[in-house]
Amino acid sequence: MREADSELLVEILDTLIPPSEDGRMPGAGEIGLAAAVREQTQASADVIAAGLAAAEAGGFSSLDLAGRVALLRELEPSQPAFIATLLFPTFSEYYRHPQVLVGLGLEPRPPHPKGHELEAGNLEGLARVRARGKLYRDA
Amino acid sequence: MSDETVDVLIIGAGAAGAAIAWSLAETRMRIVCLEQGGWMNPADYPSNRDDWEMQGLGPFGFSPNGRGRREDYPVNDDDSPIKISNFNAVGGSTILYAAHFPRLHPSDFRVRSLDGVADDWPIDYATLEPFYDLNAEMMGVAGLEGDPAYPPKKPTLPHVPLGKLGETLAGGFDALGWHWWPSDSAIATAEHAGRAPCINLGPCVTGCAQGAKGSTDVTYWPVAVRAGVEVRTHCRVREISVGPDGLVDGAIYIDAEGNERKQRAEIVIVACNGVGTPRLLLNSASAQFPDGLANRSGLVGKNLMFHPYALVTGWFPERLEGYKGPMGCSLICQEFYETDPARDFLRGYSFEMLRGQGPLQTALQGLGGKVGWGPGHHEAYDRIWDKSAGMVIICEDLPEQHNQVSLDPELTDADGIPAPKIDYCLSENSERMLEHAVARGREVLVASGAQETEAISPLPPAGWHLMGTARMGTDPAASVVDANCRSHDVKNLFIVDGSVFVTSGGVNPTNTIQALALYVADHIKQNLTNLFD
Ligand SMILES: Cc1cc2nc3c(=O)[nH]c(=O)nc-3n(C[C@H](O)[C@H](O)[C@H](O)COP(=O)(O)OP(=O)(O)OC[C@H]3O[C@@H](n4cnc5c(N)ncnc54)[C@H](O)[C@@H]3O)c2cc1C
Repeated sequence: MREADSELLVEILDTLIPPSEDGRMPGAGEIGLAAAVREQTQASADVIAAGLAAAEAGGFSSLDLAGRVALLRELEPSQPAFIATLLFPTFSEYYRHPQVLVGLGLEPRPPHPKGHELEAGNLEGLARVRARGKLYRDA
Repeated sequence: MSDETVDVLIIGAGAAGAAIAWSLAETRMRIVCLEQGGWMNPADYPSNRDDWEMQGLGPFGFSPNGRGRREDYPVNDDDSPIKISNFNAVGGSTILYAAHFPRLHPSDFRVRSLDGVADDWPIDYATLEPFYDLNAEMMGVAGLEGDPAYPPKKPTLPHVPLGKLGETLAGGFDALGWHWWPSDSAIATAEHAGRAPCINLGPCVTGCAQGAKGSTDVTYWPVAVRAGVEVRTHCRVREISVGPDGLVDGAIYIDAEGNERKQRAEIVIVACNGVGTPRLLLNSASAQFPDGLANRSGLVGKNLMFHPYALVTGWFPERLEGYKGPMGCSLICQEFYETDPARDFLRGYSFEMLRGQGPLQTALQGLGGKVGWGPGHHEAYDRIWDKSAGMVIICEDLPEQHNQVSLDPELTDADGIPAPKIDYCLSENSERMLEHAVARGREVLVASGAQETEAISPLPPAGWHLMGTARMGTDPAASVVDANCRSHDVKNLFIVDGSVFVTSGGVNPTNTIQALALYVADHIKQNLTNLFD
């Protein structure tokens, strides 16, 4: 992929998942997901190349966010697989990135070995269930 | 490795193979188990990794067709709306199972007598009860005593915590006046038999890195191996062989190096699950058994039962911490379990609460329509992140001969052994039951505070309970094995997995599969001196 295409892909990822206005969530491009997305879409390199070329021809980089969104939507009929191909890897890389996990209020770690605390819960309702008596049939 | 004749050959090291191996070990007989998979290393389980959610879609996925590990065999399930889920390793499908561990009800053994459909089992709840108790001790069952949906039973460990999500749903059941109870779960909620306690990792269904979940590689097998049972891994059985006397004399298998070998045995016990077992019996056709081993009834592979599942999800206004805690186990509702003549279906179903999803699964589910790309992305994601609660519905499936496992004429596994083919469709009874259950499921979610609900019915990947394909019975013309799970046709051949189920009940089957295996072991032990008279 050309250097220019790499930059363009970063901008497109930042359009698919832009930073949140409150700064809590980063953009998908700015946290460096482009390489992983490229790798995951290798089997569809032609689709990605054609989509990037069309975006470049539309002057994508010179547009503001609203303009970029409008251009990508405009391209959908002629490049139907472009966005669809990008979305799964973008979402799947984004929602395991440490900065994103922190933004969601999570610790950036796998579940093991620390695990989670969980309350036993309120079992008061079971008094009512017990009071109904036997619910199974004898056989 | 020696190919001398052993006393007992067990094929399959899953839930049932492990239980029967452990129980028979005390006889000091020479016991070998052949298993096509290997031992799992808990350090390799996804919950140790940052990409734990992706792993569940790949190498730890439920479908043997998608997973593509060498030890897996492909299954042609194109002609079934419900697809096969399993795992092939020491521990079998318990490596992935959610460890929901209910028992059948007493009425489940008397379906024909009580409700006029299907057949009665040749044994009853009271027969299995001591083996359910023994299994609870060995597997480490968490739960709460006093559930009025069951005869009295004592769990060995404190129940799995409900957490905020469980409490929320319990509130819905309470509002409607319905039954609910903390689930029986094969999860060590406290240290048990050397197993570390559950620390609420969440993704139990990609293997438990903590070792708290009762998969049989950490429950029965270590004890059985210490007692002298040999587990031979990466050994795939191609055929069970028959001697001139019409008894089975062992099995032909492909070993880890790809060599074909024969293991001779006095007794063969098949524990390959409700699909693997009929596949192996059908692949073991011979001059004496031209239609497949132990298949003079013609019923090997027939009467396949899944539990038709539906998934009902509710979206709540606040966060539920649903990514914490054993994902499949918290509470069960059996309000609609027993037959009610006022309904338009026979038999019944259970609701089992699921937890919510991790961040990635939430996003991928959102891709289906709730979360798009572009400037509205974060607002849309925030509306669903950690705000969903799901319940699965487990419907009883009635046996029908046309639902079956046969051999695929073309598809084979990596060793060239014919693969199973599934033909299955939902009965009208199941469709009506699903419809009723989905409506009730939405009702309880709304009563719990859900603002929106969604249902998938039937749930395609839910072919994880595999039953009925070598059914028990007293009549050799109408069943494959007798009341002790011994083949009617072959005196030294036993089957101990879900294949032998006569009916399916409306609960997860593994506790019953293992109780049956322990019951069969007990029968063998009691009758060792005259087993073949
Ligand atoms: C995702 C998932 C979730 C589940 N959740 C639950 C749950 O919550 N509660 C519940 O009760 N059940 C659950 N189940 C089902 C449960 O795992 C099975 O009921 C149980 O494991 C069946 O036990 P089994 O011994 O009959 O078969 P298995 O455990 O499947 O073991 C069969 C073994 O035989 C081996 N084998 C097969 N053919 C051959 C051959 N030819 N040669 C050598 N070895 C062979 C296989 O490799 C396998 O290890 C779940 C299953 C899955 C996949």
